[in-house]
Amino acid sequence: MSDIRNKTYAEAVKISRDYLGPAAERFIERQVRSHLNKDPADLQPHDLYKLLDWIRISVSFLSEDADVVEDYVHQLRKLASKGVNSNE
Amino acid sequence: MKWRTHSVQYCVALMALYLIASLLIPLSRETREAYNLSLAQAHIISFITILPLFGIWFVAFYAYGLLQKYARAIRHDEEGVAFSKIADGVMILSWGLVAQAFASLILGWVGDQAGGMRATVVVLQSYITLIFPLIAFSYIWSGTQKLLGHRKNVGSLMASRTLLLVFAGIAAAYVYLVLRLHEQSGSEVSPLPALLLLVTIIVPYLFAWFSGITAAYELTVHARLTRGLLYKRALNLLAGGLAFLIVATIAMQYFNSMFLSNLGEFSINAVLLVDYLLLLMIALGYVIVIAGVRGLQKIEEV
Repeated sequence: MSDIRNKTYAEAVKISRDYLGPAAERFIERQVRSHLNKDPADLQPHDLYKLLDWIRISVSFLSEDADVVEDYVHQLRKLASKGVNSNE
Repeated sequence: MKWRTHSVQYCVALMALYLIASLLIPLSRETREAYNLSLAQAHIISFITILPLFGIWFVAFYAYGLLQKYARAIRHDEEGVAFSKIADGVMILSWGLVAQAFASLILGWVGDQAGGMRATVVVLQSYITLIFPLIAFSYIWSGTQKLLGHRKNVGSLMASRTLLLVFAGIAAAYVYLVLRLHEQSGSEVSPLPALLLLVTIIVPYLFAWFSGITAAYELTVHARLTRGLLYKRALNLLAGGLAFLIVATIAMQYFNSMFLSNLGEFSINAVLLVDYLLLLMIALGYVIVIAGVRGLQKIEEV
């Protein structure tokens, strides 16, 4: 497992737990490594914007309920904008 | 371990072996005499019963292969160890289905050939039928204990009491019926003396069933308590399927030990109907397990 001390990563995992339960950390780590080619410990809030589309596609494979997918992506987008704004 | 990934190949090989064995070995003389079957009729019945049996073996082996694959995918997590135990339990249960079928075929034939060995055959068959679920349910139970972890006392008191009451009822009825049958029919039920029957067959069966029922209950509790909307859907299916499978296996054992010892008293149609109904339930349990594991596996693959 990756370094959960990274705040953005930890927050993304926390949000994901509501949808993916114990698989959340593994899911986010996989997304970050494969789509951003980054170590999750280096995840920055602005990186999340790049991940949103990938996550939407991935979660669409797991659920046909578009509302669930959009709700999940919306939560992550809020986290990304909150992080970017606090950095500015 | 690499061999674990070949569950379906093992299943196909065992099917071929069983098909050959069943063509060479007819139904036991005892069964043929109980139902007035000729040798040709016995062969036809054997063949008819093989096809659904193979279907069940296939779903069972496919299910445990998938479960082991999933357990390997999450092996670095706390849940990985728990699922690995559960997968091993389901594997033992699946191999038990095959072992029982082979034992019934081969030992039945041995009993036919050597009349003096019939008692030994009956005892051996009883132990083979018992040992696989006994070990399997213990593994599954230890897996569910790990899944619950520190949340061990989370089930409701009402549910625990109901479970205990149901189990006490099943156990009491089982002990009473087996011992009564033993007293009435003597060595036809089991050549073992009553005390040995109690200690080496009845008590282990009750322990196995208690482990199985508790594991099924704990799995459903774990599924209820787990977070994650999408994860939970798949986990609920897996937990439901395993619970269904465990209950169906127990029902099958109950039926076999209670009614098959009195073969001649029931019509062959009634025995086959109940037997198939229970096998269908077991197969359905495995199918639900497959659906659940596929859902969980998908989460690890996207």
